[in-house]
Amino acid sequence: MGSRASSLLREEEIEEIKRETGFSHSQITRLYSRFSSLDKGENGHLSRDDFQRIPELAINPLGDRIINAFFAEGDDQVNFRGFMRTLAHFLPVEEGTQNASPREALNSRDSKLRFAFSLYDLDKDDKISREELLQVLRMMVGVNISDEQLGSIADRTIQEADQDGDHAISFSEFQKVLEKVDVEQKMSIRFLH
Amino acid sequence: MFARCLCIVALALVMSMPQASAVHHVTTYPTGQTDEQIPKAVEDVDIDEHGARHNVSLFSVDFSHVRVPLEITIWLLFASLAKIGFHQAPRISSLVPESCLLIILGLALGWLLVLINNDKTSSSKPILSADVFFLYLLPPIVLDAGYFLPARSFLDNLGSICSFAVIGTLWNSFGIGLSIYALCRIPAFGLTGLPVGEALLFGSVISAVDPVAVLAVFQEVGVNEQLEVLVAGESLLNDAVTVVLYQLLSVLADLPSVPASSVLLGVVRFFVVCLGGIAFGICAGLLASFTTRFTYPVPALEPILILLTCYLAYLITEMLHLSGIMALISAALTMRSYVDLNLEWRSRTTLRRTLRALSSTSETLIFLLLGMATLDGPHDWSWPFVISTLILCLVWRATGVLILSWVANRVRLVPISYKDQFIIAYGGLRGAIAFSLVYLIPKVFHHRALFTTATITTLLFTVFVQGMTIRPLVDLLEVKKKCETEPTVTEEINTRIFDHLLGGIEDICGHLGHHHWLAVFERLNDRWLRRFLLRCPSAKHPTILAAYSNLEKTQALSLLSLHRISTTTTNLVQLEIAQGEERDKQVVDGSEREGGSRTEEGIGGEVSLPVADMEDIRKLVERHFYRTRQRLATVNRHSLPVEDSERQAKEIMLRRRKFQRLTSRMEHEKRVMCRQKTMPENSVEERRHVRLDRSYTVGGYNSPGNKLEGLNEDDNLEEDNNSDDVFEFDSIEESSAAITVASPREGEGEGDVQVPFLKKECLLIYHDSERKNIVNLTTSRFPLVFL
Repeated sequence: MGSRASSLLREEEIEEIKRETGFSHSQITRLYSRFSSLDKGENGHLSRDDFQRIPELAINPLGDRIINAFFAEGDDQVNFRGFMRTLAHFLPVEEGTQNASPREALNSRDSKLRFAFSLYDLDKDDKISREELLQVLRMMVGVNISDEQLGSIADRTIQEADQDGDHAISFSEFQKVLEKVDVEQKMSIRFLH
Repeated sequence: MFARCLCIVALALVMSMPQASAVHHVTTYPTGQTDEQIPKAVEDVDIDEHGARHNVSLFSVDFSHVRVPLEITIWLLFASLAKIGFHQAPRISSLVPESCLLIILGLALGWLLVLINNDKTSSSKPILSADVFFLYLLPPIVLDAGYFLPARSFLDNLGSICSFAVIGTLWNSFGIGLSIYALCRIPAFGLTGLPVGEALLFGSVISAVDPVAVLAVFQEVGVNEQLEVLVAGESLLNDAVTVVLYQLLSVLADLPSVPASSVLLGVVRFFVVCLGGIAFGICAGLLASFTTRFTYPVPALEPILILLTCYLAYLITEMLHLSGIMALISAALTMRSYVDLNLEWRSRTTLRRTLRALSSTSETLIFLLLGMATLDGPHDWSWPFVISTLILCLVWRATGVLILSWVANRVRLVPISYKDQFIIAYGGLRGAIAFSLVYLIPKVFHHRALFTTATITTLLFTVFVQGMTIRPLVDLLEVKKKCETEPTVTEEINTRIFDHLLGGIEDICGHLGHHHWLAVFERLNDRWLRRFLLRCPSAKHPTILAAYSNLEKTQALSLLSLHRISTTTTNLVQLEIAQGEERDKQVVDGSEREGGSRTEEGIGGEVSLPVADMEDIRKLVERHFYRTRQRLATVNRHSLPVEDSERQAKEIMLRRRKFQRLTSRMEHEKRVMCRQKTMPENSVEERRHVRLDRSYTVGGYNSPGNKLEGLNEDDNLEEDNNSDDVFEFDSIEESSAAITVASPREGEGEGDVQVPFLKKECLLIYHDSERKNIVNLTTSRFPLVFL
């Protein structure tokens, strides 16, 4: 299966992906075989259903949002490049592209935070409103918590982060409030070499 | 609280009295009579101590008749009552782990028995004999540990676990053995004359980390899953090494020189022991899975069958001097996935509860008897020996863990942090296995008494000191990290979000995908094993199936109530208008109705609520947020953790399904409304016709929403949608007229009426003709049988 997979993926493509995302050759081939195994239709694209076939995602509270993060605006299919581009956010910070400046690389701290921010911000207005926050919170809690309590958590969260008083969290406020969190470590997977 | 403890202790004393006095009773019989000659209780004549016969007595006691079962029952009852007693005193039990309390109780009882029973001849046999321990008390614990082992973490960390188990134990044994030998050469200790063989034997006995003690303590401490699986896995797998080393050294110990061939033989023997144990275990697991394929008429037999098959494997491997523990572990791991699919949820619960009951009882008994047996046996106290043993155990374990972790971290995906290493080293408790092994040392060894004393002391030290302090230490280490940064609520929430996110991405990447052999096994599994071993080979994904099947039933019922509240169309119109909040409200209402909380307010409310205290919020977050895999509560002896994660999984899936269903229904209504404007009426017929194919699936991951209406063309159904468990019919008449459900495979009907009979119980939902209301709901194998 390994040889079949890499034959379908040409060397130039691998090189391009390597340059763009910072994965190593073996990582790319391995992830390509994973991509192929998910791609039941064998058309080189993954749809949302392919993702939903992963059983552990079904019981992940953020499953839907994570899947949505792979698809660009309005698209229903994601190809291997897009797949890798999204996964590149999760490379550990030490690895990754050498050419791109450390700030702009896909796995920089900023990019990781941006990815996390986009999980909240569905309408892409660059702000996390109270409703958006509540939606995410509601997905993450059990059924025994009342709306008031959830609302108070959300209010507290906004209160802590909000600096310009608009009762919403912008990206820069989001960054600031998370500056003590070790985002680099928490949003990194060691893709096996 | 204290009064209750006193009551229980008093009760215990009372119960131990009959046994103590019975011991007297037996020994005072005239020597000519054996037990069998003593007449039975009720109707016979009474014989007093002098052998004179009296008349028929109204009341007599014949203890020896029931002696053995009575003793066992008394001990078991006592142990259970003691455990209940501890839980009544939460202050004590939060400080001191249960194992310690039980040992203390055992010590007290043992001392009491020694006082009462001054006649030494009757108590020459130690109560916790090695036989009792290895044959009866240990297997339930190991089986239970294997069955509830988190398989995924176990396989992820298998390399590290094996290295700790094998290399770590070897390192410990030889290190301790040789150091003891070296120390004993020092004349100041007064222990010269300890041959190196005996020292090594002692080292091998004392070095093995004990599963019983480790599991007992760690389930109370509550560390993260990876850490616990490392320590627990190591304690379980080092049995093979211990067995081989012990046997080898006890044979070689008194030889003047060790031939190299013996060492080689020992290595080969290790592999034989290991692989033999695993082989027997896998056979037993497969046998158990195979038999459960056929036990659906007699579900009451299932737990017994499974437990006995595994026990048989254990006994056979013990007979062949192979590693019984490895057999049990591999049996449990093998049969788990198949048995979970074959058994109904009731039988599964019964099996789990039985395992838990047995292992809990065993563990209690072991610690109790350990305490009691401490005072037995020949003792030879020697300060330097004991102290040096303790220190050496700690030192060698620490260095072993450090070195092995350093090596393992080069290849591991998730490194073992220093804090984890400390806990692994500190959590290396010794327990009853060491104790039993030391009792098995043949009496010809001169220093057996010395070893016994040192072993018992080390054991008590590790269980008490290390067991009691490990939890505060864990908290201390955790707290130390936290105190540096005061986490805000945002940080807490976001940390959880990151954890979930990371878990999701790991699953997408197929974390285990890099284990190529595992993928091969999966394919093999699907093609051959599942067909052979499972009742219904198409059932998928066992761990989630349980949650799913409950989910479907409750979901259908809640859908029923959702339908009854308001008609679908108006709901959807509202949904269209008020986007996010209404949707959330539906979801919230549904899930709240499910969960039973009774709030009425919507979430989008403008009411400004008072911002609660930080502490309250933290508690809310801690208690109610869903757990990620890393933070999942670890194996708790008193509850069933699977229920918890199943509940969580069920809630999440319910919520997502409802959301998907509502969105798709909204889509469909939009489409229907469009179509109805443009298409003639026969599309309704068409719709009805197609609808017969439609079904919800249980255990499959078909695309959401497509299953509601047959109109959506992108029905990328799974190849085998014969795992359909729910069929929808538009009307009762329609179902009777048009359905052919001879087997779940064929869903489409065209007017043939075959015998409507489904292969398994399915959930059938009957709609009325406008598809507005569910008129009927039944779980049945016969679609035409309605309420």
